[in-house]
Amino acid sequence: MITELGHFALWLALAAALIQATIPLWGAKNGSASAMRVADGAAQVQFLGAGFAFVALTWAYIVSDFSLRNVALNSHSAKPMLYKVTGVWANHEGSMLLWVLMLALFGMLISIFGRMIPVVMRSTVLAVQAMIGIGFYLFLVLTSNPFDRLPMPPLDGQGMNPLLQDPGVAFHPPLLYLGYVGFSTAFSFAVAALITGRLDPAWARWMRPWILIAWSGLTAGIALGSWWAYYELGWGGFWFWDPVENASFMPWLIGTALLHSAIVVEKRNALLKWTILLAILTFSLSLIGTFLVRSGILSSVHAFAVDPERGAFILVLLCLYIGAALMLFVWRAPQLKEGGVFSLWSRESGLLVNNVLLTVAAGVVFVGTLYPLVLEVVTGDKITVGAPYFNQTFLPIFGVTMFAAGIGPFLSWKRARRPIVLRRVALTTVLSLCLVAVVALGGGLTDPVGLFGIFIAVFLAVATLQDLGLRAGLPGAKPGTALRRMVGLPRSIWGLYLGHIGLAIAAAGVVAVSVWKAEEIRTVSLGEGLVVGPYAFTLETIDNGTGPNYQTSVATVIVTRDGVSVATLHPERRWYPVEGKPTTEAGIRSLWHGDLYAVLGDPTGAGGYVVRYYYNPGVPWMWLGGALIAFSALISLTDRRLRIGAPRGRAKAILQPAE
Amino acid sequence: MLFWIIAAVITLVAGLWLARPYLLRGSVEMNDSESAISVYRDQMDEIERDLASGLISTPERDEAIREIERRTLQAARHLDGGFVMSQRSLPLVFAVVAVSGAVALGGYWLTGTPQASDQPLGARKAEVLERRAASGDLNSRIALMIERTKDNPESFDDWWTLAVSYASIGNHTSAVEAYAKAAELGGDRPDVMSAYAEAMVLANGNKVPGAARLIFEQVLNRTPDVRARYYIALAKAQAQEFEAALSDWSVLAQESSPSAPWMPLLRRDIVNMARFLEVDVTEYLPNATAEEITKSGGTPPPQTDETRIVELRASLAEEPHDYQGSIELAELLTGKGENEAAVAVLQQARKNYSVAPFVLGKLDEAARNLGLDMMASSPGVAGPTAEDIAAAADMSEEDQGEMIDGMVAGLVAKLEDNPNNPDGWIMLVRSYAVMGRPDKAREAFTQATEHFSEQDAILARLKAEAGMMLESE
Repeated sequence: MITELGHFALWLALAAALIQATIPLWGAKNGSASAMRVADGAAQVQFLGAGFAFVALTWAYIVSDFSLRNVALNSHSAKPMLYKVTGVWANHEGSMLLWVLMLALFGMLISIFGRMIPVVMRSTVLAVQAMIGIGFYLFLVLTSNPFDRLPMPPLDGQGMNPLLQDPGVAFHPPLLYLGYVGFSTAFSFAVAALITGRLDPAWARWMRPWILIAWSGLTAGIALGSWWAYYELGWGGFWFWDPVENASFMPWLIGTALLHSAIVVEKRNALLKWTILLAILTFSLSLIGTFLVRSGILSSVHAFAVDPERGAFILVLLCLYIGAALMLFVWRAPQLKEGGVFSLWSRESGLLVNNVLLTVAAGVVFVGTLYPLVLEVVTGDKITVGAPYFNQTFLPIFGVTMFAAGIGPFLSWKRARRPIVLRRVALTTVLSLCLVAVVALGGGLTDPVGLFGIFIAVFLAVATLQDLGLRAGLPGAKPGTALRRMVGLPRSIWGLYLGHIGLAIAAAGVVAVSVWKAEEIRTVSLGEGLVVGPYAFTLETIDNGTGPNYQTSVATVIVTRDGVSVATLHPERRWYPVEGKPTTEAGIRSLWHGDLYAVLGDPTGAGGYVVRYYYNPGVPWMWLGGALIAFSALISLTDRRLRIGAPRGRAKAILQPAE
Repeated sequence: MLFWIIAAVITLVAGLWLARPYLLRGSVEMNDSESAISVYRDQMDEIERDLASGLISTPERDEAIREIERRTLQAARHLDGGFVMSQRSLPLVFAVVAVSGAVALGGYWLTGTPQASDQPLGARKAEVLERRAASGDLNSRIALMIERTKDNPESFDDWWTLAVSYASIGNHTSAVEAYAKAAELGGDRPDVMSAYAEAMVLANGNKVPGAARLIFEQVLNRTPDVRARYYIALAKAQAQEFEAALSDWSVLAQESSPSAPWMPLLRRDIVNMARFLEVDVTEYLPNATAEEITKSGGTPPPQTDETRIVELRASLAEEPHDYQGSIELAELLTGKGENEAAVAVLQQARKNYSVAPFVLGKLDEAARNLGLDMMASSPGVAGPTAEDIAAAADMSEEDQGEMIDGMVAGLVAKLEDNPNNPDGWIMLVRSYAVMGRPDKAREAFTQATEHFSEQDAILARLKAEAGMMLESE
């Protein structure tokens, strides 16, 4: 009965979404407070409905109720409890249920924590959220119902892709969806602003926390997915420019631009239309990502649903939502009035430049991701656009973006003093060049591309630290005063610093591992050593064992440097008999400067084993940087003030119009 | 039904929640300009606090305050003095509840299966075990029976099935316990008692414990139970009463149907005991097979027709050029009335010796003697026909080789039948020499010289015409 009540709750959520999408809009149009306030209760009922449906499905997984087709196809009674639970969203139907649950969660949160948002805006936002919801609830119950029953339940399920039976990937989808779906709030706020015609700094303030949560979740989700690929796929790589990865990366890029342009709206009442457009684009890219992954149009590890009917359904939803929002934009945007003006040399201009760069970067990724699909549809040729394309197009743009991110905080709002900014840029450049020279000479590094990449990362870090120092009153102030000032800085500023420092650290890690990675792939016998960069890896023993639902061979690999033992690694090769699939578990030891990474391959006939050993410099920095970026958004989130960008100084400057 | 009641209650509560704003009277809501202005007011306080804590300078504070004031004025422009009031409206409450209820219940009615219950694997344990047991998994069957005996500890059938299942997977210790329970519940049924005692024996490493022997004896008092008889004999054997055991087993074997399931075990024990006592096994097991007799240390009796037929067939399959074997086989088969098979054997032999007229003659003679020539499919009686020889002309090398083999075999047969044929021997030695088989040639030459050892003239001719071939090697 729990299962059937879960199924019923899904329909109840749809009913609540229907009410939520209609009555409040009518109320907003006719000034009926009661009608508008229906949105709050509806958002809560919708969340409880979707939540109960999700709990019911999870329950079915936990107790292995194979009378549900979804459970029978994707679970197994011998699976460890953790993966029974995470198995709920490791399949098409369950992950779509998680999708609508996230959507309902954001609606519910807005209804509870958005009390300060005026009711007209709040009810319109919730109505738009519900419209998105209706489409996906219908998609769920009509084409992908997770509560479909089997008349003759099997004795056991078919298991779950063992690659996904991993703690890292277990929490990757919920975080990713927190981001993907969280950006629906930005979309709803943008559409609500277009509908109501009210757009001001307060609007950006109301939207801010939701974007921050979504962006933080998406950042963490992407980092977690990358981390999983790094240690589970066993190739030492962390980013493959796989279309599914790009599908989550594009909303991140545009979302980052949105985050920054929303600051301009909030502080300076400028870039209003641009921000609206970015909000629509961000969620559109999330929808496109959902379409790419869920329609099965791509074939990769992630795309486990291959069903043209479902693909067509999402495609229709996609066109409907994006098309309607863009049409609304074209119709209503000219009626919006831009507020603040700013000069060419100003924080606003800097952020605008950054926005444009991020948008172009996202466009480049978009073309690289969709071009093969379009080509296949049009000509039937199947091509892949791989890393070389993205490295040549995306990386230069992103490098410039990082420079801009370093320089941006030097610029003050409205109008900045050019000589001061240029002097600080010069100082930063000189400091960074010195640091890079020290690193290059100390480490004996010569690769010019790698050193340039490191220079960019160092530049961003030095610029950010320099700005922090100046804010704290250094070098003039006493250390105690400076420290007190630093602690007293608004948390949104700390968000800026942590985010930018995180980006610098992550970028340095990416550059280091891409340029200075050392690897060996060889067949070795027990006791045989291999030299990888400065390290020697020796395969000591191989032991066989069994896990809860797999058999495993665990190797012991001892790593030494100059004869001194550094680490003992335990790479594994697992075999999952239910699913009939092997997995590799890399043995990794993270040192402060890089990872020692070992993968155990197949045994050869003659007592040898194929092994892959890597020294991956910088990889721990990537994860640290990613975590800092995600954390920076949460720090910003705790800053609840409405921010005002006060222009510094009174120098007369020629003011530029906003756009 | 319960499901629909719960669903209806949930629908009603949810509907009322949805319609809550229409239930409340007179709640007041700020309009949005007002709320924006309240935000700006909060913010001015914040700036003053920042100034007080030294985070911003006075000029910065002035600039920021000016900015906020500007925005406040802008927001105030939209201020139409309005608060909006909520209004109570029962018809709208009813409409919202009805619409949401209709969508939720109607939608579920379309795609749901309200009668389906939850089927967690835990609750399906019995079903799982039954299905596995039905597909022959004894462990599942045992688990199932354990469940059943827990539920019905007084059911004889369940304990009995459990015991039998334990016994069939070789877990005799557990089987003993289950049989004991079954015996208790079955009211001393002899078959149950004897199965129980047998499990005791097997659990005891095939030694018959005193208790088991007692049970067997009780059973035997009531019915001539085979198991009891066997195990009592075994107990006797284990008590050094070997002759008694052997004769008990022997009687049992003779009283049992030869196809009885216990016969293989019984025969084995009789054979072993006969060997141990060094007695003739056929005394105790009259229909002992040759193999059994050998095992028991005795001499096997002469072969029977059947075994000879099998032997001949095997040796002919290996070496087809054995016309005497073929003839013997044909004779045996005819003796058994299998005329068709006999004809087939002779036909095959004729094919192998198709260019050896002497052998063909022998084969035909045998066929005539056996009366097989009267059959429609009987072998022909003539020698090699013109067709045979014409066929030989365009044979492949392999076939020709076979034909030569056949001719030589025919010659050997002829000489065995009538060795007084010097030309034949010379031809055989030469043939072997030409075929590259000097050992055979030498052997044939030796045989010939031995046969003609007293006839010098022939010996001289043999040496001149055949010995030359050997020396040239």
